Amino acid sequence: MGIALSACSGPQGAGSAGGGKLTGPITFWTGYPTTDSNDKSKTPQQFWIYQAAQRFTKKTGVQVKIEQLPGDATMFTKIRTAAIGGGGPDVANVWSGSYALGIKSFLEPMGQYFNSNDMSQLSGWAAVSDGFDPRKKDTLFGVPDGTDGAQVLMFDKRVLAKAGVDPSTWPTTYDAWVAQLDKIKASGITPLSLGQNALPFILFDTWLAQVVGGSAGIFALSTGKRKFSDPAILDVAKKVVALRPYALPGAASTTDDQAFQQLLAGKAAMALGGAGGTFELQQRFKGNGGLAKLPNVAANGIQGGTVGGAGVAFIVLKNSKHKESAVAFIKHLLSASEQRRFAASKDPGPLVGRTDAKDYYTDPLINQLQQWSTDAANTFWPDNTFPADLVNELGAQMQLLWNGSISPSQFLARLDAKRDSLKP
Amino acid sequence: MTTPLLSRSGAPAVKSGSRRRRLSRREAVLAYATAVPAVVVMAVLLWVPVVSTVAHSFTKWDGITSTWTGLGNYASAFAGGQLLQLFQTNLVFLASIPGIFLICIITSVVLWERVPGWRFFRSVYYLPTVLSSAVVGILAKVLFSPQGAVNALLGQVGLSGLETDWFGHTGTAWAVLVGAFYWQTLGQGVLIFLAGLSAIPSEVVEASQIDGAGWWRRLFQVILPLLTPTVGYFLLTNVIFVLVDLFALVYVTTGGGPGGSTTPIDFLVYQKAFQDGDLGSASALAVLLLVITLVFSSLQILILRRVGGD
Repeated sequence: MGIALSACSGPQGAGSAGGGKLTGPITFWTGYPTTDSNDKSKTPQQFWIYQAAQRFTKKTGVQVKIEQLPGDATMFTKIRTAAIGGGGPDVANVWSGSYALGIKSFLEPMGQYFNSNDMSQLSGWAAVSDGFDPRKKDTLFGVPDGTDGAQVLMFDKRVLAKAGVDPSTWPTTYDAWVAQLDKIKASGITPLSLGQNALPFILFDTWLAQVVGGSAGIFALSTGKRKFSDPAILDVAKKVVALRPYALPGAASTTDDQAFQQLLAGKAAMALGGAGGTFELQQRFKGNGGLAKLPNVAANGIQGGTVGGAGVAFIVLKNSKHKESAVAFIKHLLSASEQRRFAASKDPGPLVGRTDAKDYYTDPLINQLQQWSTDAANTFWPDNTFPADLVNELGAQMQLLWNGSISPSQFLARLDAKRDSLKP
Repeated sequence: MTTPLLSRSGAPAVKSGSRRRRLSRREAVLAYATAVPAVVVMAVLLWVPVVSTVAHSFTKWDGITSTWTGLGNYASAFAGGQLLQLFQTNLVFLASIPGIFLICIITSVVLWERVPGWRFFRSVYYLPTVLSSAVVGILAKVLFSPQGAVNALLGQVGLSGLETDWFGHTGTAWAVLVGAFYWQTLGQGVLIFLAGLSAIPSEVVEASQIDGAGWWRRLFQVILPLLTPTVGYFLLTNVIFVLVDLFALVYVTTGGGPGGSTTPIDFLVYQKAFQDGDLGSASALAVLLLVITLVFSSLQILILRRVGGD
């Protein structure tokens, strides 16, 4: 789909944002929603991203053509293929971390467009920095777009209450949590609905980050300084597999969206997710939705957090003929006024990631999620820091581990073998 | 001695010869002019990419810059038995070809003998052929997903013990893939064999029937030998398909899983090129796949010639 937003006023190219003359039109490939599967009557113009682009056009005279990006890793396939052919969008929002950095040869460095004041208004710069060090401005290949918040357990409080589980006294240890899963199962409902990405990249990765001690340990695993075949990580793999009797069948080949829909349909008591599904959770459960952190498998949880980053980032392609306009558009979308409108729209997407975002949301559940996302103990997308090949292998081998085709120690040995085989 | 330089009409022979030469030159120009568009299209769409792929297979290439790495990409493809492991996926499909061949030939002969309802069945068998591999794959994925129709049906008929995560286990994932491949290929195979059967003189079959040959004997000792060229075409096209054209089916059905166990070589070419951005390694794998396909196709042609096919 591609719809050009016409300028409401001002000639094309005559606008200005920040003093320089802006040219256009620009093409924006986005993951922001432009359709609603539950309400087919909704037009693209009813979504925040279209309205925000219209306001940009009105302000600058630069038209914005919006096209939808796939919601999975094929977004990079689409961008890479277009960029090799000399085309592609001017600006896009994509997964951050090693995913976005994997196409850095096609990306315009962003450090030159953002001064320290601009940067201080946004969190998550590490995840768009090559080497995950945002102090080096020449290594910035994107702009953090909000935050995916924390990856948490989502549930319907009424279902848990029926099972005699009180979400206000949520267990913080694995064993206590499993005892609760037993109670839920005994009440006649399957405790967990898990998806093929949640298994490796939320469940396993969260606990992996905990037992290796956060960022430093994750980097050591990425570079081969530390082995996956480690007693503590083996214990994590065993703990993941031990959850199989508590989950709906087929988790390893169920998409995460399907898994979430199973929760909404009342087929399971809990699912894993983040910011993306929270609004729908509240809407469907009529305010009875609840969130809880995953239990800890390490004594003190995680220390110092992990460099997972924002989850989503804006990028500008080197091929773009309108880079200034593309950057102006990013700044427009991330401005306080637009982010307030985005928060009010309740459109799915990342949560507001501005450092001043304290009162953007009225829903206590969203505020809770946002608070957890800034928590130093928040474990966030460790896969964002792994090389792409290793991420693929982790996802692939998790399928076999979950279905019992390989043992936990074989699973870890295969991760080591893949990591060791990667070219430096 | 005649005067070869003079024509019958008295006009110099050289004049007639030059007209012929002019004519043949004109014909040659016309022939070249007719062939040029096809040659240009082939060059641009086939030979330039092939040459470029071979050249880039010796480089580290991200789509923008390339650096010479010699045989590094080829060494990586063989390292740790990766290529062999992927080739096993293609081999499983290869091993499944005799099965679909038998199904196609039996179905074709039955239709050829005009069993009741043969017109209806001829259309039904052909229907899946008009669907692309991607559509067939999506149908298979929907039907066999954990909450899909197959598991639901098994549960409803009291066979819930057979409900499984079809794409979560290598064996069942293979069963679904091969089933989808068979379903899609059946119509094409039946069409090819019906065309071949229509060229067999009915007297030959009738004579064998009078001589007392049963159905199976007629099939294997009369019909099949007469269908050798058709069999050859069917096998050749399907062997090439399972070597270089599995991508769409695998991509949408299993995604190469579980654990990469259903990943064929052409799927890895895609992953390397467009997911990992390692176009040099992808080029090397593509060249190896080309060589493998050439070897298999040449062997098949040789064997078919030996057994009497064209």
